[in-house]
Amino acid sequence: MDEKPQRFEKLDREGIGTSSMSRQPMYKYLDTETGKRTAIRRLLLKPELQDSFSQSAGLPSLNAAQEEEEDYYGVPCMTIREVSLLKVMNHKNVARLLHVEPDNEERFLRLYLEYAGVDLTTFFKENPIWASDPKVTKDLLKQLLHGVAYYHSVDAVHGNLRPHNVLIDIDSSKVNVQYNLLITNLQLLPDTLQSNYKAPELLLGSKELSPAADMFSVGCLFFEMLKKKPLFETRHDQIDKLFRLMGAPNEDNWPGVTQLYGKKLSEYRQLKPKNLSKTLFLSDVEPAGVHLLSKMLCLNPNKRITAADALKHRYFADVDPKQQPKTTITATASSSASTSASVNP
Amino acid sequence: MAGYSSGDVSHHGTYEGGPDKHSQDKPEDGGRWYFFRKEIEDNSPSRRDGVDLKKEAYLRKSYCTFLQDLGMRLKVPQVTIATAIIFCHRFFLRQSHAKNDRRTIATVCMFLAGKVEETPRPLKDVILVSYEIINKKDPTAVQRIKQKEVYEQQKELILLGERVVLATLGFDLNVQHPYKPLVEAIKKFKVAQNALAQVAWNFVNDGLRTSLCLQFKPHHIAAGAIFLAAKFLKVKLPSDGEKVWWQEFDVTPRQLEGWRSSQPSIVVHDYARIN
Repeated sequence: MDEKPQRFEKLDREGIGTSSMSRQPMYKYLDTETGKRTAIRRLLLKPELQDSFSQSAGLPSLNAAQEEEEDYYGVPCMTIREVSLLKVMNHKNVARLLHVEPDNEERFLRLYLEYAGVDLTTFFKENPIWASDPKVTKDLLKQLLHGVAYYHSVDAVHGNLRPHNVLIDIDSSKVNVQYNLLITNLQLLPDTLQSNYKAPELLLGSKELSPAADMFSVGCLFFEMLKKKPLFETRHDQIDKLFRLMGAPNEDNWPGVTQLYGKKLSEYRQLKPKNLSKTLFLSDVEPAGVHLLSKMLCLNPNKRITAADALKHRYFADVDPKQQPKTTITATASSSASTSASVNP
Repeated sequence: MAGYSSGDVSHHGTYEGGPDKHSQDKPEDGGRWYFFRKEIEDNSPSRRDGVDLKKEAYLRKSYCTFLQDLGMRLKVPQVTIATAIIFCHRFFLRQSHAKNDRRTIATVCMFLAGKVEETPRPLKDVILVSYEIINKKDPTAVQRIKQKEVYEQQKELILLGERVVLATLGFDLNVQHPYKPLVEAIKKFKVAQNALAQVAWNFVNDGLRTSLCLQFKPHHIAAGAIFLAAKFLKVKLPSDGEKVWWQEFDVTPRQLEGWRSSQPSIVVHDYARIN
């Protein structure tokens, strides 16, 4: 049946976890056309599979439109929006969509996403010396923020920022070792079941994925880059730990919070914010870094620092722009006038 | 390639046929969707199936009118209608009118555009309204589509069509329109803002129904529409100071003149008649 030429060759030795959909091990593939490595993300083509999928992946329904999907039929909105966005996204810190095809039964759409290097956790494990260099941490965070800022500039949110979805490619062929960071979005078990990179508003029951929620995840990843361990080890007491650290949300630091999540908050009322540097053992980190971290972990999503502002934070002030890989962010990245555009005579 | 199979569609997601790509644009610009007029007119799949240029122009106008009507009855914004029209134009760049019913494809495009532009309409509404418009002259049609069998058959057709359209468009569903650059540019002018906006807006809408949007990018169409509107209204656009207005659109006067000559003169006449 399968007549298409084998563009993608499975790299059997390179497993990258377990798929949340099929529960089969996931592999990397070699794209013989571009020579790039890729990994597959699968999206639903049929809405009736939605429920069982959400449950098995431990994912909340993403928004109201998706819940009503049954009424609309056809290919789910989320699938259509995600693929159409990925198709136009073009940024050096975001994994490119190399190819799209339906599976044989037309139940899923296979997205072949660029894959390079290793994920963040593996990078720490394999390169302990580089990983503990503050300069590398700063460079990686900057690239991560560039990628996330790009997502937000095209009105997209990532919604699933975790170490597994952050890839680091090391290029040691140059005099100065280069680290290239790539944000991807693969569904993997068992990590998908854990929500320990989720923003407090999501933990409290909000279903709205937002740029601010992404930034909280970036904060968690920043901590992980600094300390080589997750900020929140387990899922079940994350909210508890977070409030013990940042203090309980109240009407002063988060206007409207009682109305939104009142009942769930009563038991935390007494908690006061702690000194991050002491509590998280960050004395070896420069104060500007701790300050930036606190802005990312800000409880109130409306006050949390944006990716664009984080890039202007003084933590990055000492970075020599000449040594940095050039990453340009333009607000109209998807529609900007390209200078190479040709117009008919 | 396994997957999307349907009697009518002989090409799939990674379709390579159709008019030749002339542009050196990167994919993110949707560069693969812009062609020279000659390419569009000479190489269309419909032409190979014996549908002549005049007939195809008629069919194109016909599905545009249909989509405008359908969109208004479904109460979707103009942007959604415009997106549906672009989907339809692009579909028939790669597929033949002889093998695909234009109104079925148009209905699918509206259903998809609703989802892409975040103004989804339930499939049921889309089917009922579309069936009603298609069978305008048949007073029994309204009742007929409410029968389960007829409805189910129509639903299957549209859902199959959705896969075919998605594969033909290669999931390039992120469409930009000239409206936004148009409005933003006119805001900066100090003269005749309202009149310019209205006339230029109408030119854009008229252009949508022709193959113009397969030849020019949205910001170029916006620039062309402003250029034409200014001529039409005999308004002089700012051309001194630090920046000449068209520079923002990354076009040159020569391109604007070229655009003008490719704009069907009928558009200008129509507009003159209405006003």
